[in-house]
Amino acid sequence: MEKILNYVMVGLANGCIYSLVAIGFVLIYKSSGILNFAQGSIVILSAYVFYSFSMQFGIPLLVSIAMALVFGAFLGFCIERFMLDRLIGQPILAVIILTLAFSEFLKGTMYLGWGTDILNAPPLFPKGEISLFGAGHLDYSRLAFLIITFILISGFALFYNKTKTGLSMKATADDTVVAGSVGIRVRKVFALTWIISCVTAAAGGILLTNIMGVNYQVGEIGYKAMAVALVGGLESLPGIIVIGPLMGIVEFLAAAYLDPLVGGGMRDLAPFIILLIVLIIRPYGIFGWKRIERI
Amino acid sequence: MWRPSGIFSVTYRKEIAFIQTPFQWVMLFLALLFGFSLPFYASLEILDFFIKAWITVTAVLGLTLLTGNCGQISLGHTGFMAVGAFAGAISLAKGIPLPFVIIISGLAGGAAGMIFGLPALRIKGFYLAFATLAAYYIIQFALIHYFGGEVGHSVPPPTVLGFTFDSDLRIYYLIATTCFIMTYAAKNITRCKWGRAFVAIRDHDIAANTLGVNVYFYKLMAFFIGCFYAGVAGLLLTVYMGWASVDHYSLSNCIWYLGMIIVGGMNSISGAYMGAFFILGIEEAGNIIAPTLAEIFPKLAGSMIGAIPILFVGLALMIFIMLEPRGLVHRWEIMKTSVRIFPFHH
Repeated sequence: MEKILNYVMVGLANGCIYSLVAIGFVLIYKSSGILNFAQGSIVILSAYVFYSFSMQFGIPLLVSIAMALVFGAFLGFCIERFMLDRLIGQPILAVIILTLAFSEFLKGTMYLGWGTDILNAPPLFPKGEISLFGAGHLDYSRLAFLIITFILISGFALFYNKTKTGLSMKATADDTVVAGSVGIRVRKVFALTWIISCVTAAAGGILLTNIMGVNYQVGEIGYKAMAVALVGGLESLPGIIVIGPLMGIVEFLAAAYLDPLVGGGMRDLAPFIILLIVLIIRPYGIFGWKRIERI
Repeated sequence: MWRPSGIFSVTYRKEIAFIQTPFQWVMLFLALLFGFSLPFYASLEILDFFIKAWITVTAVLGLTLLTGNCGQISLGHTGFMAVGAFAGAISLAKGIPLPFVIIISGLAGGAAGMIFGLPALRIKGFYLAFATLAAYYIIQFALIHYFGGEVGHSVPPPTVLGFTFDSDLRIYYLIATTCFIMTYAAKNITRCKWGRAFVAIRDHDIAANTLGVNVYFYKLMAFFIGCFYAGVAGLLLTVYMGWASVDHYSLSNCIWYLGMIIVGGMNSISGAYMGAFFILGIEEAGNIIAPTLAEIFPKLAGSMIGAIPILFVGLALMIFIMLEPRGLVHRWEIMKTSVRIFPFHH
């Protein structure tokens, strides 16, 4: 029992990473109908930038965190302005390949600039662990991750439902043309969406440096986060809040109890198997909107 | 297709002929002559490039049928290639003659494609793209854990009726011939009833359904045919490398294949050729330039060799999709038209 609780706690904290990265997918999909396959690479690139600022240039920790976040915002703005502009009205395949090619391009850049070694970023939180309910052990960086994710997500929920900008984003997500006709600046909203999603990606990357180290292969986490977004339903923020931690828990439980049966590797595979099953049973995700298509 | 004014097909047989004008016969003859005489005058590096190119073209043809023609986006194509490669490697090791092995690999790839194509009956677009990506990871997992994929299988040189394909030259002819036959088949598939059903499904699957196209059947068949091509291409790569390992079938390769479709032109067979040669050429250019760049920037020399081709291809793809999403075939058609109507503007 103690063991299970331990897995659940670690899984919960790991799953929050997925939620944090998946917010970006959902925001962009809701406002512009595009699934950004490059999200994972953006996460890791921001982590690398944070590493460079703090370790190589010796800038103080808080300043380099802020600079990495600004870098994320700038990247998001550039993607929206220079790349997606040209893709309005193009088939979905072109969008997918563009974001995938961009992701590979970023991977090449990271490979070129920082090499293939796993780099150790400066610790953000003191070392040590706490035990919850007398059983599950959780180190401070994972605990901080949990707390920060929950703060960010509830902040987003408030922003989305209470502020004027958030409401205009909601309106754009609903119908771009109608939103434009009631005086919302759609282009500005698009840019803002991309900036927010890239900043959350950067925040995820910075937090990740403490858990996994910095390496361009960690970018695969973007695909797992995408699985979370698809299982939760691409239109639904509550979906990813629920599904992300759940997915993390399932992952760790699968690693613990299925690995001896199949010979390892279940941790990386579990999200994809779950995704395939969910897509066959509920193609629009658990919390997603069912769309009825017409000719 | 365009013909000079006053020249018509006078019989139905001529109207539906594969090759319609004498000029096309000449072009076909020249292309075949070039393809099959290449080993006599090309250096080993060039031969190596062309062997890889024919294998890539075979794989991309499958993807053209599946994604370009039928609109079912597959990010798991290299996974299906790996299935074909492993099936081929195992059956070659058992001493089965080559023609059967080719069919076995194709069927294995096709069967895997059909299984993982099942979600396509309910989802499309981004969802399907991601479902096939999941398929890629699952296939890789299965191959590594149950078929010895991490170490790989060594493959004995295949034989047909006592003739052994053991040198690069002989393997070149094997691969070029297979690629040629597959191209012929692909072209004919796009021309027949099935090809038209695929296009109808791509354009609007519900509309196709109301017009009496059995959407479920044709979607699964598109997956089967596309992945049949992938399986055969996987086998060819295995035969050339002499080794079957999951490392040869990476996710980035699959992204490049999809890029080749876009660069070439979504739904044309000649587009598959153009895209494959364009992207492979850029990758090769990156490989050639990388050592020189490494000398200029000695600080980055360590990662230059690996990173430059990825950077080049990624950048080329991005620029291409942003500037000419309709592909090289579209440019080629414009060029042909402007030559034909020369003194006048297009």
